[in-house]
Amino acid sequence: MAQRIVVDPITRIEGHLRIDAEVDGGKITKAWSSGQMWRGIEVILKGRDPRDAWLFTQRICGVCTTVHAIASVRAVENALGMEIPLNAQYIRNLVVALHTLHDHIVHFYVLSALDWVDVVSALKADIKKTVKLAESLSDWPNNSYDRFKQVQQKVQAIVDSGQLGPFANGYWGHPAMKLPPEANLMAVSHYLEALDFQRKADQAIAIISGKNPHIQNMCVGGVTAAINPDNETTLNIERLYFVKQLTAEVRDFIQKVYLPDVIAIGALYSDWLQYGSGVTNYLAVPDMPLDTRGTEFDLPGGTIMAGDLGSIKPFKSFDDPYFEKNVKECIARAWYDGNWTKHPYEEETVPAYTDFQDDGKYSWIKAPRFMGEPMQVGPLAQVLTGYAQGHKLCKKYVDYALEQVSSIARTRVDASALHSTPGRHLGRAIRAAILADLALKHWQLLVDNIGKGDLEIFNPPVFPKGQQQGFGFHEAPRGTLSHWIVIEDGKIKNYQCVVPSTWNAGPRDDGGKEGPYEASLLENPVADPERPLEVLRTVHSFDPCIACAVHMVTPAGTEISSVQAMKLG
Amino acid sequence: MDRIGILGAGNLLLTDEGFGVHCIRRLVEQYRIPENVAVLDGGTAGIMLAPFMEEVKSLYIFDCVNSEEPAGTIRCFSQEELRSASMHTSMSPHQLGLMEVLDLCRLRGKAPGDVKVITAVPANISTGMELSPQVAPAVDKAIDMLLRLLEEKGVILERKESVSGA
Repeated sequence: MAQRIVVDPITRIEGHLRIDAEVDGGKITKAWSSGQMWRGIEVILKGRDPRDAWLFTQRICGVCTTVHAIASVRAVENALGMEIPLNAQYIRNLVVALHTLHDHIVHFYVLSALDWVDVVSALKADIKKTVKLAESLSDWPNNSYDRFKQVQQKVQAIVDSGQLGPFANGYWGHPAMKLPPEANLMAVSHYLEALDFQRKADQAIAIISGKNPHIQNMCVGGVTAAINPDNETTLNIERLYFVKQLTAEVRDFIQKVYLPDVIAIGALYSDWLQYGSGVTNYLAVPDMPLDTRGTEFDLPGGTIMAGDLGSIKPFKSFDDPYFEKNVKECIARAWYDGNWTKHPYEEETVPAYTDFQDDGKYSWIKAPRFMGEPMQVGPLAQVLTGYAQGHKLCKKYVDYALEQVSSIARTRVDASALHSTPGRHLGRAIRAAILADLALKHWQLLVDNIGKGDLEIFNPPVFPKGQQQGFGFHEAPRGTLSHWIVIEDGKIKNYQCVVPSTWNAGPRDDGGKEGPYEASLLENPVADPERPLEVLRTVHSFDPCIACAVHMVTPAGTEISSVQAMKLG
Repeated sequence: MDRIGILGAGNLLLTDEGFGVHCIRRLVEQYRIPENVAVLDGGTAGIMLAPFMEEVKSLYIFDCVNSEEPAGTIRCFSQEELRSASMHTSMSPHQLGLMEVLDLCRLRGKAPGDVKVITAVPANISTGMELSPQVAPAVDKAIDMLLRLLEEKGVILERKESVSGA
């Protein structure tokens, strides 16, 4: 009887992504990215109090749980022309950084490492050589003979039992799996440890924000995390020190395990540095504001066009018109009524489902464009826009990573290699290292400011009669997120969320220009269409915040395999 | 005393998919929960449920599971029974469902020793906040099944007196 049971995880994920790819001569020649679920939040918000919007929007996702709260309160504050107290800014920044650390660790280890790591091959690893390899990368204390031996025995026991669990139906022995057994064993050991560190980041968020997932301490005008160094029921020194300790432990893991692992994988798969670039226009927004208005930032943002770092144009503030004026969304190929390209303030959200039409509408995701161009968003975009501006931390970690990759790969690898599938993973690990440093910096800024006697956390918002409009952006773990609001007489008249996965996973526009997922798949090799591991690698490298169903189609149009790549959120 | 976990899994927005969460709500509404028993509405939290699973000795899960039996049928499975079934449907290592998270905990040497999954067969998994008429009566049956399993462990849950209609 048990044989008939289907535990169907598809129904419990936040959204669905369908990728259709045509393969010819071992390479992908055409690709479509389709969102299979409609997000109706914008419609639900109409007529509501703008102060409540963040509570609704943060329910868009169960994984990126903090980001829509942050973008929403920033949008309302922008519409009202508000500033928020410095403490509130620092507290939000801590949440932003910690959520990123949690997210990047989970994404790499739990959701994409197995695209590159062959678990079964770890059984053939020589333990002493594994220790040597690991020691050459970092001095992480758990890179020990005993630990690796123990992990190898655990993998052996699981393989012997025939119950591979999370490793079931992985692409073991796939021709595209190239890591030596020792690197596989090291990565499996780190995979098992990663769970502890993503949890520490989560715990720190819960201490600051009352609850996680879905934080409870935001409000338009600041935060509701009351500060009193001597009160047990507020954010006090004891709690702040607990947050610091957890953050420091996570930073250690990122510097000594996550970043070195991604560097090693990038170097050992250096042949992949030529695949997956796709759209090389990059968009990132500045974040981690240092002042009450959002005019100075610790994380840089801007645009890069056509992969040319010299084309960098930064965004300078929370109300930079270069951002506000240039974002539009096109629904020519999406399941909405009409065929228009509009600014988010003017958009409507009227569903009009057809079915999947290769040459017509085929997605619930709209196609966002910046000055008419598709843009790649995500950690790589942020790191590159920072690198192009000479941002100190970006430069430090990018140069370090490229140097290490070059030395392991025994060939000169420069920043142009980052426009690739492994480049997106490197960008994410580099960004994690930057944000771990910044989390500790902003912790110190907060504590120093409290030390000066400033306990302010909230400026009350005032809603004048008439109409106001504003936008709030936030550089979320998956990239640039923006919320757009039109307020009339204190109520929401229009609301639009332009989310990172919309930028990346969006469909073609009215001019037929592909979105980043679609473009990045072109020319990807596919060694075995029955097991299209290479497609998963490239789509996963974007960290899709959606469930991913990959269908492989031959030029004749017959489906030869249906692969489901599920991600939690 | 050994720590016991009771977990409800599912998506509350998709009618019968939320069965596990409805069971947890009914349970805490009607019964006193002893100190060594941790009850959690796990929703769709996936990997975030790992710490909860790793901190209990025995784990009972309410969930919704498709089978060819009539809607509303209640069954109790061991982890082995469900795991062997999911082997056939899991197409990639990225499908981290509850069973996969449990296996990950096992690989870390921290999984609960005893896992029982109490399941209902859904009638409807389209958008909706309430259980379908076929599945709604299964909540009490599933709770009865849990109470019997807990009794075998010597754990008795007392009914709250003040529950309306009780």
